[in-house]
Amino acid sequence: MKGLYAYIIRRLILLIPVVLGVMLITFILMHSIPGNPVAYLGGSGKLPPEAVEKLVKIYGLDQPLFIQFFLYLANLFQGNLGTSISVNPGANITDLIVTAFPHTVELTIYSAIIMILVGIPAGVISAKKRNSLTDNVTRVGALIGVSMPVFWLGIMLQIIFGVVFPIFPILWAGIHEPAVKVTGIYLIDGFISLDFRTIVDSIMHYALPAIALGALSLSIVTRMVRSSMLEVLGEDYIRTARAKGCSENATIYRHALRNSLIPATTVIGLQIGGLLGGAVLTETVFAIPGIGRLITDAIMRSDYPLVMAGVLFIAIIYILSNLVVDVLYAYLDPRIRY
Amino acid sequence: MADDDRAVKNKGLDSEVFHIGVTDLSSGVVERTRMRRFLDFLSRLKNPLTIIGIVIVIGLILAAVLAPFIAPYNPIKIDLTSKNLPPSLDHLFGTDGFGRDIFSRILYGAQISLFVGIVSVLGAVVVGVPLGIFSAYRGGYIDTLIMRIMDIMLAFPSIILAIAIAMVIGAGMHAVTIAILVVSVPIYARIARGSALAVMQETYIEAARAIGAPGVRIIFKHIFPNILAPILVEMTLDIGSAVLSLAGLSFLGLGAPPPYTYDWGRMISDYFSYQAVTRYWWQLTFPGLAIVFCVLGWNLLGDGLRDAMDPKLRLKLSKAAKKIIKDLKQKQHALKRSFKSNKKVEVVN
Repeated sequence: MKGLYAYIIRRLILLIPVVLGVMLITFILMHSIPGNPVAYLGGSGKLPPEAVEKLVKIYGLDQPLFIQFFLYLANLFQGNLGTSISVNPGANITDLIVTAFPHTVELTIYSAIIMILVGIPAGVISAKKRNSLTDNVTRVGALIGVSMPVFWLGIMLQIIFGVVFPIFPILWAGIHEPAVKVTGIYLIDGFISLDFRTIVDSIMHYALPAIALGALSLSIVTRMVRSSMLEVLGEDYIRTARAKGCSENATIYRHALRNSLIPATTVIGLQIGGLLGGAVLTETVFAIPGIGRLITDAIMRSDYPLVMAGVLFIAIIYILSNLVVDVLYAYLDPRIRY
Repeated sequence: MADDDRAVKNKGLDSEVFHIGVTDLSSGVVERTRMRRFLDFLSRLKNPLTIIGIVIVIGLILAAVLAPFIAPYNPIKIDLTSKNLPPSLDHLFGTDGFGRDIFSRILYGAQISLFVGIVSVLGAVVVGVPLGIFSAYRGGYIDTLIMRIMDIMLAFPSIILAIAIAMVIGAGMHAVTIAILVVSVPIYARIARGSALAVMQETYIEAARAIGAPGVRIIFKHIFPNILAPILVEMTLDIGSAVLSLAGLSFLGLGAPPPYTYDWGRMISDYFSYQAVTRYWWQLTFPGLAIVFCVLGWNLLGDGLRDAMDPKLRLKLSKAAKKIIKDLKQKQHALKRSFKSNKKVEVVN
């Protein structure tokens, strides 16, 4: 256990250069944007020259680039991501992201639940009945799943389950507000304030976006579980289990599944990070006011600071989720020395 | 000069026998087994899913090339008399809000998707593979530096980094292509580095170094051809994901500018509205199906190539090839004996 803590600390230290590198990339991208930064800081060139000069001073734009980078870093570490220029002019970007993030988290939670609850059993059954009809259907389904654009699947679900069979609402808006708002995540707030209507509303409104977003990851997890299960089923200890007279189910669920889930953990963890990227498109289709929607709006209105802040935020969440996966992997697989 | 001296000194070496040996080695057997390997490789592509993939990819290429000749309508000509028509024999996939034929637009759209997909993947290979091989070849701190930069680029979810890059360059086809290209560079650098490290353990690399071949020659002549297989597989799979990324970026409004409004992702983005979802389903369905088919085709082809190139499944040598190798061994044996019997051979340092 002690070794595990040391491993976590070592990984956290190794994270520092990566995070700095990511910040450097967003900084470089920010500065590669054509045109004068003041133009997008203070409204396109309508300012008097004195005001522009002042702005240049305030934002340190007269300093050499590397000093500007340190100013940028200093701002970031104080939680200051800059100011939005056109989506919500003058608003603090950190505030915008903090309000938007719970919606993205909620969507990701639902997608992750679908991915795990459907992906793992599908992979196991597919491997167990190798080359059967079930297996082939699952494999082709997974292949189509990885070939579909997330946003298009969302639109198709809207058409099928929102218009042709009106089961689910087409758009996100209209969830009953819970009495207590602690986390901003409707499902959790609904449980906290014991508001049954919010819980049902949350599930109904997130069902289609979660399926759309989860389909890609679901297919990847299914393929991964299937192949690692097939690999494990060929191991000696499975033959031993069968030889000593274990029932088929006990062999598969007790001996094979546990071992085949170790590599699957990595993929699941990486996919949870990847869901955040896909959320950009899904949130746009379903009009969910999360981080993704924020970024899309910022793209449409050329709000460069907001786009870069959103990109940086998602990248850092992604890095952290990868770290959690690695630690989990080390914890689950005692063969790994840390 | 030194070589001439050696030739003079090795008079004992029977030039004719030597010559036969070398010719057999270089052309005969190698060519014949290569041909066999290729045929064997082709026969392993005969899996139904792979064939579907090949058919789809060929179909797409034909659609893209022949679009001007087979498309029944002009993809950008506005015809307000035939707005929002559902699919019929006249308009196979219906028409859009400007009366443009969706089927024709999809055919033309194949041009954009294939162009961006293939160009961005080729570009990523041209940048990433030499970077990866160079990194493996040089080792040391240069290797660490290059790979750390690649790791940092992989720390972004790819679509997010592509969005940021495309945004900075400014909307347009070149912006999307470059964005997708840059995002896939680290993948190729990593694959190339990994395979190159394995190849560099081989004796022929050591031999090339020993005879003083320059680094560039070793990289391009000896390492590159030997790591081609995994890169080719990755390229095929990557064209599919490049098409997906293009669709996503176009959907966000970062894609092709007018007049290239017939890009598949952009079509969905342009048509997407409450009205279209509730009433004009064909406008949203068919461009998306085109994307799915395109990506699926490249994925199936890539999977098939990977399986076919799997060294675990390499051919067992045919009888003919075995006979050739046996003959060759006998000849080599004879050659050796002629060396031994001829005491005039001197050791050349």
